[in-house]
Amino acid sequence: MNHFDEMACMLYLDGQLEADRSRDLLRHAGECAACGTLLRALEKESGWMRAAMAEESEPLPSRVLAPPSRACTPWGWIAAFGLATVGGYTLWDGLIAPWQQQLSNAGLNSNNLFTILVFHGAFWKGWDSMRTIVEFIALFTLAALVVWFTRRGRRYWVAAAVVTTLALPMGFGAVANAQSSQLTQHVAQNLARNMAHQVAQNAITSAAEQSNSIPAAEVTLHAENYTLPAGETQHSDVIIAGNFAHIDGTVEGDVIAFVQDMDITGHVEGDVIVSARSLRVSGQVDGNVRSYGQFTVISGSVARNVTAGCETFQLEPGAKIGWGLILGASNAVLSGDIGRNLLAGTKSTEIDGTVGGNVTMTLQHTTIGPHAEIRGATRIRGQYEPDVSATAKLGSPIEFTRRHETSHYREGKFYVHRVLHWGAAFVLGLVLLALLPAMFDRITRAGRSTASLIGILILPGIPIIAIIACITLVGIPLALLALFLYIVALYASQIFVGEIVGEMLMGRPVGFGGLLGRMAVGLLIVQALSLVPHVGGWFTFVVLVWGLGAISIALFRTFRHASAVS
Amino acid sequence: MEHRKASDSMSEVQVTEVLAAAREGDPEAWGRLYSKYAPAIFRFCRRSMPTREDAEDATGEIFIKVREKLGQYDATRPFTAWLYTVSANHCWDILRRRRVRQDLETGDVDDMPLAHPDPGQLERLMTDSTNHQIRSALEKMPARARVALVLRYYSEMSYDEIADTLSVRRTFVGVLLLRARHQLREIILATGGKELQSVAGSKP
Repeated sequence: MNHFDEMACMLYLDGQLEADRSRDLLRHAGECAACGTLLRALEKESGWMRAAMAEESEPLPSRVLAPPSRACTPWGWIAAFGLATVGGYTLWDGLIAPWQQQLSNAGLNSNNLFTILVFHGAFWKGWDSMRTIVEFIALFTLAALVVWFTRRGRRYWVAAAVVTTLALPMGFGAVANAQSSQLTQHVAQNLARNMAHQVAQNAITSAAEQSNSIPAAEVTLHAENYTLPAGETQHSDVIIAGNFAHIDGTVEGDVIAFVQDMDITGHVEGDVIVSARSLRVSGQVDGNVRSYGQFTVISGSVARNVTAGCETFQLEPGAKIGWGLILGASNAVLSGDIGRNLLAGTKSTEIDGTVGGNVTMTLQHTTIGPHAEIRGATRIRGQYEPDVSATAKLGSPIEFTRRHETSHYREGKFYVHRVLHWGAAFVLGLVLLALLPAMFDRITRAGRSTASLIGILILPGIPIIAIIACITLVGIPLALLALFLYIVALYASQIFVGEIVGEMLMGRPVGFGGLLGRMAVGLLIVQALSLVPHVGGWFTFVVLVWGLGAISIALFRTFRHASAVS
Repeated sequence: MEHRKASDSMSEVQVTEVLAAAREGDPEAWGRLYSKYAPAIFRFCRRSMPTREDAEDATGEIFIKVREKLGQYDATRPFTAWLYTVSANHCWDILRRRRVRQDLETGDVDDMPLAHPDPGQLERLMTDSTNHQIRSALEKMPARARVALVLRYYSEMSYDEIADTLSVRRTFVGVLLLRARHQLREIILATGGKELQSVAGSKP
């Protein structure tokens, strides 16, 4: 007879072999030493596994010692349902109803099939009643949530936290005036600009240190002061990273600088690209000037365009910009000549020079001085009427559109947008949870450890590495990919932090629904806190650091595990 | 299901009485029931789930489910069998939800050759391996293979029950278990040293 294979032996031992075959196998095992030994070895292996699995290898954890006191209330579903209902109602009231009105104004009235079908209840005559019901359900769900949160005294802090969380941004928003918001924005802008400057300076420094492939440029790094003396000519581009730079001679190429202060009193035949605290151009630039810093003062001449993003911009009397000026600044004084168009977004601007083309500005205050001459059209969108001198020369009457500066917290559409933002993040979280549940789990676990503070290094680190990677041609697509993933990770940070916050408030989830619910509530809290004036920005920063750290740790552990397995 | 593991401080009659009281909502009876079965269920979860934290979570969640479903329990069936079925379904549901099966088990059944083991060397493997090594190797196994072994050799589930839990054909359970055994041997060898390399199997 043929020998029995391992499968037959295992099925026999597990009692899964038919009676006839079992008898045959037993008989054969008695006659055949090899099969008998195999049968005994497999039987022993089964016992070996049973013993290893049954052994009490570790004490019962304290969490498991006491029975769970009650089934977990589906807070998540309750919250999600309530929020979704409120969101649906808000969308209806804020978006669909106004559209309906606009369509009606545009002639799409009851005679129009689309209007009839969508808005006039042809599908279902009870739609108007449904609106009322939806409103009722939204309010009822909110009330039910409040009852749930407050029904046990020991959970009072949850209710307090949720109520405070929701009330803070609204309360602060109501009392916060526009000035304080601008101040916060202004501080944030400065911070971002300084960071960008530092990053850019580091990048150019690293790029220049590691690359010898810029033979056509004079590169000066870490210079306390760089000066190109009058009478000297640089026959190539000039790249400078240092504290102070002074171009008094002639540069036949471009000037690219990352410095604290820069003066151009000489002649630059190419473009000037500068990130500096202050840039002063009193000489001659034949190309364009691109300036990003705190102060930009032009008293010389620029043959082509000027693009500036700065705190204060001055075009002094006698200064000349051959082509156009694009400006993003807090304050601007334009007393010189601009050959073509002026496009500006500022807080206040004074024009007392010549503009050869059109002027388009969005700003709060505009002053058009006695020496101003605007040959094209002037379109101003601002908070206050422009102050126009009687002697100013205008090519056409000023088209002024008043911009009402009200606190966005008082605008209904602000809340519609917030609901949409919340919904977008929730949907992304839902997708991540459905597609990558294990990774989602790892990230939220990592987020509960203090190791996620590593995000404070990752946050600035990846852009720096990406910029450095751009040195080589191969590195550019990699850097772009890294930056794309970085942006996705930044956005997703709120989702993971929301999930963690939700679990902190409502306990560990049971099932997919529990996870979703906690994410919904956590996201709401995270987004609400980020709206609090003054501290909202810092809170967002913490969320980014926290989330990015958790994602990084989870990815690191995943790749380490994968490499260990392989 | 010949044998189910649980703490033996209560007789079968006592278990029936405590169960009836627990179904009536008696919290003390529920506490006794929990004390009796929680260690075994935690150990089951510990063997089935990849981490200790997962096992702790799963144990709590299983008992929440059990308490909710106690009214659905058919008292004519052994309670331990029902309890292990609920536990197995819950753990497998978590693992499946995490897509561990898809992530880590690509080809775990189809591509792995079934080598014939040398009985003598298999004996040596069992002699030289500690229980701790076996448990560590279990943790490294793909989820489905690991759960199949735990269901069979810890929970003593029948092939039918395993097929129901893992949503596979009954005839496939044997294949699954046999390949899981081979994987376990290979992992123990890979982590325990090279001296037993030939134990896992050679072509017959």
